[in-house]
Amino acid sequence: MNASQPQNATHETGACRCASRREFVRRVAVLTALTVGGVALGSERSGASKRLNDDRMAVLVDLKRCVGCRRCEWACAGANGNSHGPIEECDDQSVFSTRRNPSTDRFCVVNRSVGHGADAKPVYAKMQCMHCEHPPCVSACLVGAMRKDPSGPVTYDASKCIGCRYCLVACPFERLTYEYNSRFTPRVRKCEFCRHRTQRGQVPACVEVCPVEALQYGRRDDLLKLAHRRIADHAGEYVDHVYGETEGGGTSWLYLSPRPFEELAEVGLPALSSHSPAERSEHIQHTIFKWFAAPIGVATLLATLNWFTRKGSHS
Amino acid sequence: MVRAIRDRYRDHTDLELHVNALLTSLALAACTFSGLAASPPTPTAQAGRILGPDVVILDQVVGCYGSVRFDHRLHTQMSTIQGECKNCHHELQAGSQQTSEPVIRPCRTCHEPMSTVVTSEKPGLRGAYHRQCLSCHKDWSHENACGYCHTSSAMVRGSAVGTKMPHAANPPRSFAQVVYTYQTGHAPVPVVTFHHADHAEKFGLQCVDCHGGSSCGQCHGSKIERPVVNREESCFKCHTQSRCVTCHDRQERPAFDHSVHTRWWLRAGHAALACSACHVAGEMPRRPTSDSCKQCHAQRWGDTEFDHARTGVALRGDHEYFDCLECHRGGDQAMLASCSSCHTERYVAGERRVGRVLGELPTGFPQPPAGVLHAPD
Repeated sequence: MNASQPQNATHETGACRCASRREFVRRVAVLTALTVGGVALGSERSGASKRLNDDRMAVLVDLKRCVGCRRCEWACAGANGNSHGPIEECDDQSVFSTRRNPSTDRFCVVNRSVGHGADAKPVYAKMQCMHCEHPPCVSACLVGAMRKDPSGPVTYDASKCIGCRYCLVACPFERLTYEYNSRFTPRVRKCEFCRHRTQRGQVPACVEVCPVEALQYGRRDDLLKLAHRRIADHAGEYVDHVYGETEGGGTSWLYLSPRPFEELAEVGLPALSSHSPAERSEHIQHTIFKWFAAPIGVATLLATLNWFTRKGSHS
Repeated sequence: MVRAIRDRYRDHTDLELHVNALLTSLALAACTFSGLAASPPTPTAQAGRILGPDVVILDQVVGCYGSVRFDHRLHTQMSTIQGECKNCHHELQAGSQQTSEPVIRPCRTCHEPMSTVVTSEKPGLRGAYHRQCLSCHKDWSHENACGYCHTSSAMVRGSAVGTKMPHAANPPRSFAQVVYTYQTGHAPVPVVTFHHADHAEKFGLQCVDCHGGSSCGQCHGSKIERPVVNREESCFKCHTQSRCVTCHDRQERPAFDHSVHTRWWLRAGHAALACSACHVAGEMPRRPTSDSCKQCHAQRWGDTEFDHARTGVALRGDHEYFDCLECHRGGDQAMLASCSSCHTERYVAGERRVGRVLGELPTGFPQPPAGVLHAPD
């Protein structure tokens, strides 16, 4: 009983000292975070266009022209070595009854939006990797397996991939797929913008096969001008917006639609802000580590604290 | 088969027509008809206008599918409803199809066979073809299966010429009801009765007068069973002077009866006439003039001027200058002139005899030429 009192006293004294030190450290941490975060957010944005080629390629999809023939799906499967049946399989319209997402053996799929009203015409929208200007999948990839090519495509290198699937989580369009059924060498599967074809001077397979030329392959700048001119020339026939010009910080796939894009979220055109999710996180992180400032700052802070506490103990 | 071959040669023009796709099984027969092949093509002509070939074989774009046998004549006939040649031949300016020989160039002169990297709005040849066809076909049949147009052999798909009913000649009225009754919210006259058969058959309106749409899909859409009519535009196009009760009523109205509605009974030869024989179609008010009467009563029967004396009543004096309908005012005895409508008691009585009108004419009475009438005896 006698021995317990000094212990209690010591504990109380220690608690007092702990609280003040904890409070001190907490304040310093908050101050540091606010300073660094504020500097990061407030400083100049690093534009994606700086890293990209001015002649980077893109595809313009005109949803008013698309007739939902699904030849793009078939050609895509053929060009990427995925399994597919005869071309007549495209005539099966029953697939439109449910919404489909890209899968490991079908990188592009067409969905139908029936629309509202008695005289609403169906709109068919092709969905595939959008090849973002500032791809979150590239940002999230730990090992650099995902790469944004300055000429437009977002490419995947299976030899580097460690299978973390952060890219699947990061993609705001949910277009990436993973070979969960492959036991030993699973890969992320996605549209590669027909890189193997474009390098040979061909256009992507889906663009080539499209019978109505609803898909057009060209320089992104040219296509944007073309899209805006088409909206102006056909007043009232298109929504005055080019999807992908700014969505998610801009994409290589651009869409023109006769119906409001808000109605087309169900077929793979979700409403996104004009900033890539990757842009902000990368920006904060890059600013913190600019000139190795954060490690130096933290080391300096700790050294200062150490110096003060030592001085206090000496005195 | 002979007729089929003759048709094919007759269709030969400088369009995307391809005559070397004759079936190989007909190779022996081909020499028999070589004389036909040598004759110049005779495009279908209608009402003095060149309407192009009957059939066009589209085989410039070779791919997974066979060529397309395009029934040009059928499409030409259907295009009379809306847009005419410009529906497809978009390079024609407005009105240029009215010329006897419109300059129509093959699509391939402008559209390249295959577009690759896009620099302009101009589609490639394949895109141009497909967009042109599907712009209507997707609307009205929702048909986009390739085999609908493409065939493995150009000759497999038989000619649609003559097998389908072109709109201009055979409007699809069989789908329409005789009468439509609408309940509106306009009390106390909520009922609007629309006698479709009267408008379509008696009044001489063409389908396109009311159902003129911008695309085939307006009538042929899978969801739309009945063609949509913009009543604001269609009804008031003719009924410009009408009041609400012209159409609205308390209850359903009977069909149009000339005797009841106009009080001008149709007798004898008039009963068999079409409305347009006397009334100008689409023109309101519909009251005909002497010109309508003289269409038959003078010119058609060989007389330069109708001799009223042939009826047993010679017109003298002022009556020579009257409009037919001033005397023949209708009613049960429409053909019998009503003298009393002008010659009332105050004219007949006393020194003023019938036929002598002194003083001012009644309001609305046709004004005779100056110096001819009103001279007292």
